[in-house]
Amino acid sequence: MRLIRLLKYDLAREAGDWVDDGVISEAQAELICARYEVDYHRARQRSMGYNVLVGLGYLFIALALITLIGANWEEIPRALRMGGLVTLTVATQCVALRIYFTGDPRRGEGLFLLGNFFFGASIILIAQIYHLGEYMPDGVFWWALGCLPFALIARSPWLAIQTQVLALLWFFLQVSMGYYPALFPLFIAASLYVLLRGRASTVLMLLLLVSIGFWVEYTLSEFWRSQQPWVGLKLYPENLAVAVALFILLYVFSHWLALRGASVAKDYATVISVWCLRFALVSLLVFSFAFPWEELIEAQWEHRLSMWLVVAAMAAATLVLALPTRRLLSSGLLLVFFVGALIGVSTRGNPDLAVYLQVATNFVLISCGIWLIYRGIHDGISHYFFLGVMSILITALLRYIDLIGDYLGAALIFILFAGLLLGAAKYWKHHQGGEEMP
Amino acid sequence: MKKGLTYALGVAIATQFFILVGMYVKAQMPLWTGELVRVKAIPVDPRSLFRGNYARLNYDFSRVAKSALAGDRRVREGEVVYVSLKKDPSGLYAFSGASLEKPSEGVFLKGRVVGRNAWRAKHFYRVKYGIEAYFAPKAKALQLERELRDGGIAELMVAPSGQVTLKNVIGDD
Repeated sequence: MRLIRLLKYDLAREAGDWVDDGVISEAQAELICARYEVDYHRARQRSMGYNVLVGLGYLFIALALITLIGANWEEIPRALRMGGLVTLTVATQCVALRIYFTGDPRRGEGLFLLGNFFFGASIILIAQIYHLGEYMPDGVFWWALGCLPFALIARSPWLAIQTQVLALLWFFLQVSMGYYPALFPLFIAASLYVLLRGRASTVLMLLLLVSIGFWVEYTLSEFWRSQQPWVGLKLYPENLAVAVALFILLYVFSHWLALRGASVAKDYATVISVWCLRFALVSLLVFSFAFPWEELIEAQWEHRLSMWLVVAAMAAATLVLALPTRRLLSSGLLLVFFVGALIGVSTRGNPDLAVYLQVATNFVLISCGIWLIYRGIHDGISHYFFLGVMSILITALLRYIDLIGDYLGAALIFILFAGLLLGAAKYWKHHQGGEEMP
Repeated sequence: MKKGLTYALGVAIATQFFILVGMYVKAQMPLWTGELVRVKAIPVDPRSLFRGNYARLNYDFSRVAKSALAGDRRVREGEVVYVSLKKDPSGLYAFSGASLEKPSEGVFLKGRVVGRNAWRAKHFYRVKYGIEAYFAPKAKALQLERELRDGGIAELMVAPSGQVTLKNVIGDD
């Protein structure tokens, strides 16, 4: 998985400069770009920065309008205020529609985005005029629902991102008030449709994955709490187990995606893989302390059966995806470690187990660091190299502060870390020597 | 194809328009069809980040005693609650009962149990009706805050369905 895919448009522009300077020919630049499935000529004209600035500009116009509504113009009659804003919304959408078909579709999409903001401002105005409470999940829901058809019809990632962000806002408002957002899958399905049928967008892809993750977790939480009398909104320890299983599945899915023929699938795979890696390292850093393990061991695991069923389903999907990617062994080992730790903490065992799990996590963390350094050197991926170095340094720093098993225990762990690192360095030298052999 | 897309986007624009009209009509409905009910209100705190200055209002029936719903099935966060009001000798309406089932007669408000772990509260459920904010320009909001320091009267319009709209807030004279 080449991280350079994330910078391919920068590479195309850089290649353009090389052509201008006479370092390479245009044909060579086209070949370099074709290697990463980028259109050299289009990439040079790509105006991502322009689009982002226009989008932000529209956002600030909307914020200015909403703030203006906040001033509460009581001297202007309600009907006039409402009529004015509804007219502004419909007029903006009609102008956007005209430009979308007769001029520049991208500009039309931008104006739809602005019209959707005006639509939201109109909803806020209605809430203000009619003194509709302090929380307004229904208003946000109607705002998101009103934006949805534009995203679907124009198949625009920008409009889909706007809709999905509003849907997530509604989701969190609903959840915080104890309601189940039953229509959230509708927004997930719409974003998925735009992602599959519209232009590529890594932001939309990540937003979609985040939305699916939250929805799965909250649905389970809702199911578990409905089984218990007198339980309010809460997250269960079982949710953490499902989250880890989800991330393992996602990581293997990224490798499966990388095998697809389409360039966009490879790009998505790279982004998913990088984010899974970051999540894994941060999680390992958290669990490199004893107290999260102690909390899990002492937690009430009251929904073990359903948790194991969900984890088993995800593990099965992980193994099915791992087969074609030839990662059956590594995925299987990862799952075995995960399931082992889960059995350890969920069976209400000995609280002393926390220290052993903490030590094991530290070794896993150091092993990940070494593996990243190795991959960084072996495959020439500097991001991996520095991530590996950072993981090891942060782990050492945390252990210095934390001192597992007092000073002697910590010293022993540092010696073991040193041994692992020096062994890895020796292997690297051996590997380099092997490469230099004729 | 282009014609179809134009129609589809036209329908999307119309949808937004009808959503706005629907919200307007829904908000207006209690004002058109509802009964005027005056209740005691206690302002708490002004200002919303986006929607401007307002006075936050509490009512006696914003807290419903658990014993009032004791006979019904268990109450959860977000549960719809119907609170019945009864006119007292002063002409103001006050709490007379609560139920998880819609009352067949009388003046009643439709509210929702809110707050995390509503079940944990010892004696009361907190209930919201969507009439807890009275929006006004800054000067008026501050004036209201001063005038209503010791409580005021909220004029509510209550539709037969229990949907309620806050019409006005006045001093308690």
